[in-house]
Amino acid sequence: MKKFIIKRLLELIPVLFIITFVVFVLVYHAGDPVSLMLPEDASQEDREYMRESLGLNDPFIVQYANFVMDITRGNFGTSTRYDMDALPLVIERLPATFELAGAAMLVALAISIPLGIWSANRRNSYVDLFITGGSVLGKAMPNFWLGIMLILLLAVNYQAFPVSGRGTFMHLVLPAITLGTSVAAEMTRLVRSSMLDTLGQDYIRTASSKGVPYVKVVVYHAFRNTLIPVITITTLQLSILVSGAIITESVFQWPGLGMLLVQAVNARDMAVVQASVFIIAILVILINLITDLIYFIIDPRIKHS
Amino acid sequence: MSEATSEVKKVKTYKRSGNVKLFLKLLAQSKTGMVGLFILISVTLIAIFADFIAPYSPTEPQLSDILVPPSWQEGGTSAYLLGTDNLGRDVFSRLIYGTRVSLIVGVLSVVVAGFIGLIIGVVSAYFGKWVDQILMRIVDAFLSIPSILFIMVILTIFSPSLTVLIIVIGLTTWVNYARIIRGEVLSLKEREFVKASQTIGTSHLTIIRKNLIPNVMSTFIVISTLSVATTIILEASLSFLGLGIQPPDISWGGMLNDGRDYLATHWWMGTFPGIAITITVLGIIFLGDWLRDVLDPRL
Amino acid sequence: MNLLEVKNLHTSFYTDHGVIPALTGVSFSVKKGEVLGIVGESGCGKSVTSLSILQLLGNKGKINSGSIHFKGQDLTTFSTKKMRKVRGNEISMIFQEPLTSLNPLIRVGKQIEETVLLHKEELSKIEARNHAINMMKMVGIPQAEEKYAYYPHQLSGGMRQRIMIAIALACDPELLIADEPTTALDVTIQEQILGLMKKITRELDTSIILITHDLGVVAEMVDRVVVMYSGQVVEENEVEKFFANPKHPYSKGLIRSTPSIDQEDNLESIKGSVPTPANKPSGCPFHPRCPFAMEICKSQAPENMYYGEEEMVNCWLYKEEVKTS
Repeated sequence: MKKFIIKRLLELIPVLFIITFVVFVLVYHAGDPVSLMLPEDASQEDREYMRESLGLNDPFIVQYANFVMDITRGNFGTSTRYDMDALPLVIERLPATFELAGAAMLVALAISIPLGIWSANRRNSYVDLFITGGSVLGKAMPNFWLGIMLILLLAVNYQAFPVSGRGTFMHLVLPAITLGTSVAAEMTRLVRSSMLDTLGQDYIRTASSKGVPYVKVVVYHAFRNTLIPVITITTLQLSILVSGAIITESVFQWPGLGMLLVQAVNARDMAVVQASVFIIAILVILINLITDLIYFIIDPRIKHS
Repeated sequence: MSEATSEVKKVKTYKRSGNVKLFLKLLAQSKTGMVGLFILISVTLIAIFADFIAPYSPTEPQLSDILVPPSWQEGGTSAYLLGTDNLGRDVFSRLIYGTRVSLIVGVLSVVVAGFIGLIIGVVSAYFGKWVDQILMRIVDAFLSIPSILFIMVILTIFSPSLTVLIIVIGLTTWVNYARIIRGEVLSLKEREFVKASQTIGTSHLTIIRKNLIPNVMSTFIVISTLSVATTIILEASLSFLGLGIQPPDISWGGMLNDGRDYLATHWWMGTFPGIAITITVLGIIFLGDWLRDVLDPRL
Repeated sequence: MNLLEVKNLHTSFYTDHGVIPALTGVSFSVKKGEVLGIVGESGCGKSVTSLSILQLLGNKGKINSGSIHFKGQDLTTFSTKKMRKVRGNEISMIFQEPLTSLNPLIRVGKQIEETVLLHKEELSKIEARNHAINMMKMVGIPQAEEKYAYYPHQLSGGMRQRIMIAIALACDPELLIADEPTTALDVTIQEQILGLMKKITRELDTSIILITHDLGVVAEMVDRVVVMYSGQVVEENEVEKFFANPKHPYSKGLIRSTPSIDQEDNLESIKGSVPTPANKPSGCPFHPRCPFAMEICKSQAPENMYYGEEEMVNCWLYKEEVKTS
C-alpha cells in the first residue's frame, strides 16, 4: 500500500513537469508577459526595464529553471488586479469550491446510484427508457443553462432560493443541483451498464441458488462489484466536475476558485491564472490518487496481487 | 489509365455504394438515429441558408423594439416570434445565425483534435518503446488536467476569435483520440496482415497509411461524432463566460451570457439559446450512439 | 415415492430474436439417496433442466408447461418467496466455474455462512460461523479457521470448488444438483472432488443430479443415466445396463466416442453437431446425424418407449421390440 502511494506520487513528477513546461512556453514565449503586466501606455524604457528584471533576456533554459524554482517556492507572482501575492488569493477561495464540489458530488451519487441500479434491474422497461433518456438529456443540456433555468424557475418565479452568492445552506442548493446533475448524467449510465454486467455474472446466480432474496442479491452481492468500474471511470468524471464547477460558480456568483479564475482570465491577471491552474491541477491529481486508494480498499484482489 | 485499374475502381465504387445502402437500411431501423440525423441535417441547412431564413439582421440594433416578449405572450408581436433582446435584435434571427459558430467550432475543432490524436495514437502504438513512453506521459499529463484549464491559460494570452478558439479547443482535446486509437493499433499491430507487410519490407509510412489508419477509421468516426457534441457545449460554455466568441459575432453561449442579466424580467433571452444547444447536441449524441452501436459496439 | 419427479417439462427463452424452445417435454425422476446422471453434448438442455428445477432462468427464461414435483409438491406452482426457502436449503446447486461462481469481494467463510443464516434462523451469528467452519473442515479444507477469512482469489480452483460444495451442503439439502462440477478442474483434482461429493452425500443421504458430458464421470459416480438430446430425454436406464447395452443411436455414439483404456482402436466421433433450438430438424431431432435413420424418422418424432418403469428409449428402431416384450 505504501509502495503503491509512493509509486503514484512519483508518477506525478513528469506530469507536473509537462504542465509547467506547457504553461511556461505559452506565457513567456507565445505571449508577451510584459504587456500583460504593464498598463498599455507604459513607456519603452519601462518595458525594457521590466523585461530585464523578469529575466526575459536570459537564455530559455535559465528562464525555465527560474520559473520552476519560483513555483516550487509557491511564488506565482503578483496579481495585477488585487495587487497582492497570487497564491494566498487562490488558497482563500478553496473552501468555497470544496463546499460546492462536495455537495455536488453527494447530489450526483444520490441520483446516479439508485437510478442506475433501478434501470439496470428493469432493463428495457419504461423506467429504464425514462432514466437512460434522462441521462442523455442531461448530457446534452449545458449545465450553465440548467443553472440559469433553475434560477429562473426557483429563485425568480418562486423565490424559494437566493439567486446567487454564498452563505446559508439555501445558497448552496441550486449550485449543487446544477453541478451535481451534470456529473450524474454520465455517472447514471456508468452505474447502469456496470450493474448490468455484474448481474450477468456467475456469482449472482450462485447467490440466487442459495435462496438469497433478490433485493439482497442486488445490494449485498452486486453493488460493491458494480462500484469497481464506476470508481475507475470516476477519474474521467473529475474533469466534468472541475470544468462544471468553474462554470457553475460563475452562474451563481459563487465566490470560489472557478469564479476567481474566470475573472482573472477576463482581466488578464496572469499570476492568478497560473496559480489557480496549478492548484486545481494538483488537486485533481490528488483526488485521482484518493480514488485509486478507495479502489484499493474495495477490491481485495488488488491488495494481494 | 489501364483497363485493370479502371476495373478495380469500378469494384471499389460498387462496394462503397453497397455499404451506403446497408448503412441507410440500418439507420432506418433506429428511431433515435433517424431523429439525430434529421436534427443534424436541419441544423446544417439552417447554418448554410441563415441569410435566407432569418427575418431580420442578427446584429443591427433596433432601439425602438427593445425587449419585446415572444409573440404568444402579452405585449408580444407576430413580427418577433421569440421576442427581441436588450438591443432590440430579433432573438429568432440570432438563434439562426448562432448555428454557424456552433457547427464551425464544433466540427473544425474536432478535425484539429482528431488529426493530432490520430497521428499521436498511431505513432505511439506503432513505434512503441521510448516513443510510446514519452508520448504517453504527455497524454497522461493532458488527461489528468481538465482541458478547460489549458484553454483558459491560452485565452489569457491570446484574444479569442473563431480561429483561436478552434485551434485552442483542438489542441487541448486530442488526448481522448490518442488514447483510444493507440489501444486499437496495439492490437492491430499483432495481426498477420501488418506482420506480413513488415516482413516484405513495406515502409512504415505505407503500413500506417494503408494498413493501420483505414482499420481504426470506424472507431475514429464514432469518437469524432460524439466529440462534436462535447465541443459544442465547450464552446458555448466559454462564450458564456465571456472567453469565447466576442460580440458582434453571435454564439448561443454569448446570447445566454447576455440573457443572464435580464433573467428576472425578460426570461426569453436566457431560455431559447439553451434549448437550441440542447436540441443540437441531443441530435449529435443520438447519431453518435447509433454509429457506435453499428460500427464499434465495444466503445 | 420419488424425491423429485419432472414431468413433460417445456422451457423457453424469450429473446429479442424470438422465442427459443430449450426444453421440449423432459421427464425423469430422482429417488431418495440416488445419484442420477444427465448426459449429453453442450447445448442439449442439461443446464436449462437444472436451472428450471430451481427456477433460476433469469427474466428471459420461462417454464411453459409440465410439472416438477419435489417431495410431492409441485415447485412450478410455488411463489417466489416459497421457492427461496427451497433454494440452498432443500435443493442446492454447484456450478461449473469455481472461479467465477464465488463472489470475488466477499470472504469465502461469509459466503458459506450466508446460506446458513438464511435457512437456519434458529442459529446465532457465532453458531452460524462455527457451522461454516465445520463445513469447511468437512469438505477437506486445511486450516479452516484461517481460510474462513480468505477471498476466493486466494484459493486454488480445487479449493474454491470445495467451498462451493460446502455452501451447497451447508443446510443439509435433500437434493444436490451439480452442473459439470469438475469440468474446469485438473484431472487429479477432479478425482478428489468427485470422491468428496460421493463420500459426503452418502453420509448425509443426499440425492444428486450430476450433469456432465463426461461418460467416465458417469461410470464412476452414477446409479442411473438420463441421456438428453436437443431439449428432450432420448434414453433412460440403470448405469450398468446403459453401458452394457446402449439403445439409442445417440447413446451408442457417445459411448463410442469416449476414450477408454482397454479399447484403443476405433474411437469415433458423432458426425455433425447438436442442432440449435431455433432450427430443430423435423421428426426425430437426431435423424440428420443418425446412421440408422429411416423414412419415418424424418417426418415423425418417436414416442417414449418403455421397457418397464425405469428403462426408456425414444427411438423408432425399438417400436417393434417394445410391442412384443
